[in-house]
Amino acid sequence: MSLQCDFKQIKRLSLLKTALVSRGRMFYKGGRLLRWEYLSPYAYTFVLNKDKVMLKSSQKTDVVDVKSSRTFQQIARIMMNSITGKCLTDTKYFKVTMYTLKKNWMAKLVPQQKDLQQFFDSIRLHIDPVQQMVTSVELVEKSGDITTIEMMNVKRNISIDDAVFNVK
Amino acid sequence: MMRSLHIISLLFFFLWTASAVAQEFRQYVIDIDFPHGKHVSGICIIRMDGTERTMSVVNEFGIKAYDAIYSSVDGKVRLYNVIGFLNKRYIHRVITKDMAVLFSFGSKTLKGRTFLSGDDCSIVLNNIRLKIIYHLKPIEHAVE
Repeated sequence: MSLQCDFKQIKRLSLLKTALVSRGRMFYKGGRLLRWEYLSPYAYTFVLNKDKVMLKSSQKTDVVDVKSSRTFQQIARIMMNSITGKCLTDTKYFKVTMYTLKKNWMAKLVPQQKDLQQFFDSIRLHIDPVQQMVTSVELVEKSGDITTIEMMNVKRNISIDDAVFNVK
Repeated sequence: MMRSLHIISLLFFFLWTASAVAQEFRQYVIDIDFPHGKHVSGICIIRMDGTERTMSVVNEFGIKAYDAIYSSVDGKVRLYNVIGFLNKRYIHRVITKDMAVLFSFGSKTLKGRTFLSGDDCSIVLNNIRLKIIYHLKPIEHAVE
């Protein structure tokens, strides 16, 4: 299975009474290949290639072994499982509650582990029941700030070159 | 009646432009170098509203590191909504002092810190004793 889409990320900054808006694209290829790339207003790339994670900013590139960091393992698992839908049954790490809304479903995931609890109060996945896929993600922090990620121009099961997921 | 409405409209227009001009956002990519090759990066947004200055630092995924408010009354910085692993007193002390220099855009100096600003409005703030270097590079259109 493969997936490619554009995304728009909106981070509401309550104290500043404004929102930080960034745009990028995502590639996913069955297994453990994920590329999450911010294109504007800053360049930043996160690549997960099996057990390696590459973090590339405009200044530096770091390659980390996922196994060496529990936090990275968790982040990698959340990202992958959110795309595949496995997070909905990941009861060891999340308490999951499903809601039926007017036009879509919503899954509320509450982290059960301390290392994730420090980042998120909850994660809300909005699911299109017809397409059976996540259309937007809301990351709710303890401060009340919310980051919303909207997926657009989704293409499924297309050919994606493995070079897209190179960790260099 | 029409004349009164025109005057009220003009008044609202001037008040709106005055508030829009007074409020300014400065937007940066921030890279922080620590000793032993450690490094974090993110986005730093500073809102300047007259004498009030507020800051939010988040990582590229939008996860908040901290909020900071600079008080023009006592010249001090206070932190809010600090992420768990930074939420320790000794870390607060370092961040508040370093941010006090940053909020002043170099007009305030503190012992043990240097502030450099480039022609492109980039900033390098160096906490010499702890060997923490903040690199800020301006970006545009980050806030809406």
